[in-house]
Amino acid sequence: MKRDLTENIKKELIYLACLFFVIAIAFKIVFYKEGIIVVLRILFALFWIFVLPGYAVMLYWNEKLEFIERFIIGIAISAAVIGSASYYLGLLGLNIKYHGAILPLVLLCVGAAIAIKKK
Amino acid sequence: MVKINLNSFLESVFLILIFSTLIWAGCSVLWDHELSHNFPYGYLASDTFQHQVRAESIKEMGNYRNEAPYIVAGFKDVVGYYPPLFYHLGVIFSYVSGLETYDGAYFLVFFFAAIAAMIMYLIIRDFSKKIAILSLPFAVLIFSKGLYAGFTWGHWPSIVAQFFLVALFWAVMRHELEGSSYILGIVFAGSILSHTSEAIFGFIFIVIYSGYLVATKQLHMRYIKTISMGALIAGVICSYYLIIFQQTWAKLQPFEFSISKEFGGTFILIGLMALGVIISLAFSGKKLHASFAAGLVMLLIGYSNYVGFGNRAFQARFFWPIYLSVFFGMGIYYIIKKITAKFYFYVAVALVFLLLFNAPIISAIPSTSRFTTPGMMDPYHWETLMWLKDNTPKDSKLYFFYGDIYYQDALLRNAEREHYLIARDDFIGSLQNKTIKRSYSTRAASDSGAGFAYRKGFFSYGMHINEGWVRTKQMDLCNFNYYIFDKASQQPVLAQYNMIIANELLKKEWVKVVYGNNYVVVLENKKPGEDCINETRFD
Repeated sequence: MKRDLTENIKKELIYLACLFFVIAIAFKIVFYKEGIIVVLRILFALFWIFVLPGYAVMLYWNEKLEFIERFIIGIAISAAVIGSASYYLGLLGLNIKYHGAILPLVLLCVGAAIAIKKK
Repeated sequence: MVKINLNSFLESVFLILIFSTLIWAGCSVLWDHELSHNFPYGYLASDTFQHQVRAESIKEMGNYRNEAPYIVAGFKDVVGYYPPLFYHLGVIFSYVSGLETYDGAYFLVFFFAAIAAMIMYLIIRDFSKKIAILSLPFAVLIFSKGLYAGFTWGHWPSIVAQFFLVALFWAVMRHELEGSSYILGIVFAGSILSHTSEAIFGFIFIVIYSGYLVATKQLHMRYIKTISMGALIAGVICSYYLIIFQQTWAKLQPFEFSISKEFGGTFILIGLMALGVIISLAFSGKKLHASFAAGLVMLLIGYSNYVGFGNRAFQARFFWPIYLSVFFGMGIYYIIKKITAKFYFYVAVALVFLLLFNAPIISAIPSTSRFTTPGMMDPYHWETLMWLKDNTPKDSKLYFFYGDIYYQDALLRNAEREHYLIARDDFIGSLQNKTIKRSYSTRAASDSGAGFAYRKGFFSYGMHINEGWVRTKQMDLCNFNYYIFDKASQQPVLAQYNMIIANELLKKEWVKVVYGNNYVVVLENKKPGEDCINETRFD
């Protein structure tokens, strides 16, 4: 079962990489006056903060929901979790400048761990 | 080797196409097809700056325990009272992307709106993929005339909250999924922590939908458990902020019953939608799909201005093209079905073009309102505000004389100093009387919406607004450290009066010009409290 999950993750990571590439092209066309480095940084930020943590969390529903559904809903879940966790971490004294590195990473690990544990 | 299903591939291409179109129509055209700018770009009202400055202040303070003093009339103990989620995401995105906060936070609003359209697509797709494809193009109308103001005038937290609201609809639809209560609780919390009134829309939706399930004897224990658990999770996540909300907004701005008569929409669209509503109700049979339920509830909430919901009803309309898209899609589907349903994908693409570009052709059908504008800010005022922020002591008091843009006063907070603004009436009256005064009617340009609430205990708050604070009063110019004058105005006489006052101030040797550019000049008063200006008349 774990092997199935690993295979599925491998396959879907290729999808995610393709999506990154295609959306990068789309963004470069849409913001055609902007430099490619800025476009890539913004896309990286969107993927790092919203897409990848959301994808990891939604792995729990790997067998119930299609990739496309998990991909899109994962963005909303990641936004809600990271936004609210950042608020409380800030109140607890951890400066917000660290949240962009820590919170997505934690969400990625927790999401993957829960999915593996479920299997 | 990875096998790709052709249908899924085409669907992905379609979704990326619509997503890119939404970003293009909403954000890219407005921003002159650039992502990073030298100053806040496309900001058309004070509220846009309100959110930008608050995000920037959180970035600088590292947290949102308190409001920055320059936002709240210099008070240092005012608790962070605005729903915090959007600001935190804006700051995090700014750090990771390298964009300035004013670009990063604004971009996220468009991004979330586009994703909300995608989530609605998923909800409708659960009913019918063809209808979902035909419905999605209507999402571009969130950037049509009127609704677009939600973005450009700064209803950003409301838009972000409605993004979570759409996700909440999805979670209710998927309530049979194991663990869906966590999703429901998390997105409900997202809505509460973005803009609390939209969370109330979510609550109303759940109540009405549950009522429908009870009435049709479809209410199951699984549904009750999911909703109850989700509400509990959301309550736990938001409990700390909800106490602040209850002690501030709920006390100062309680619900007020106010009726307004504004129908909205155009004949063709309403006709098409009505057809969709009738067909949806007729074909939904015994089970009303979540997409129809969400559409109907948001239609009712959008018209709740007739029963006293006032502004909140209008905010719900920002996303009508998304909430109600299922009815448009349904209407079109049953029209083209009579001919052939094979071409629905091409019809969807044609709809996108029609709604993007039709304005000159069929004025009865709304289309996107696309324009490029730097908005209220310009490089000269921005440079001035940044100069004040970087070069004046933190405890300085600033005095802004007349400026065309200054009365959208949230933008002045970018100076990050306690600041005051000359009252327009007194300024114009004094100009008409040809007098120069030492004391003018002056406005404390600050955000007093939550009463400058400060914490006395965990459940006990005081409000500086009730302790003798007044927004506008006569103030002595000589008590300020810096004076900011615009040298140009759309009404040249106003700028000329500015210069007359500036020159009178400069007659004192301790008042000096410390900064200037083509539009603005800044004077420093090195002896605050001393007589700084001769009250006189001029010709």
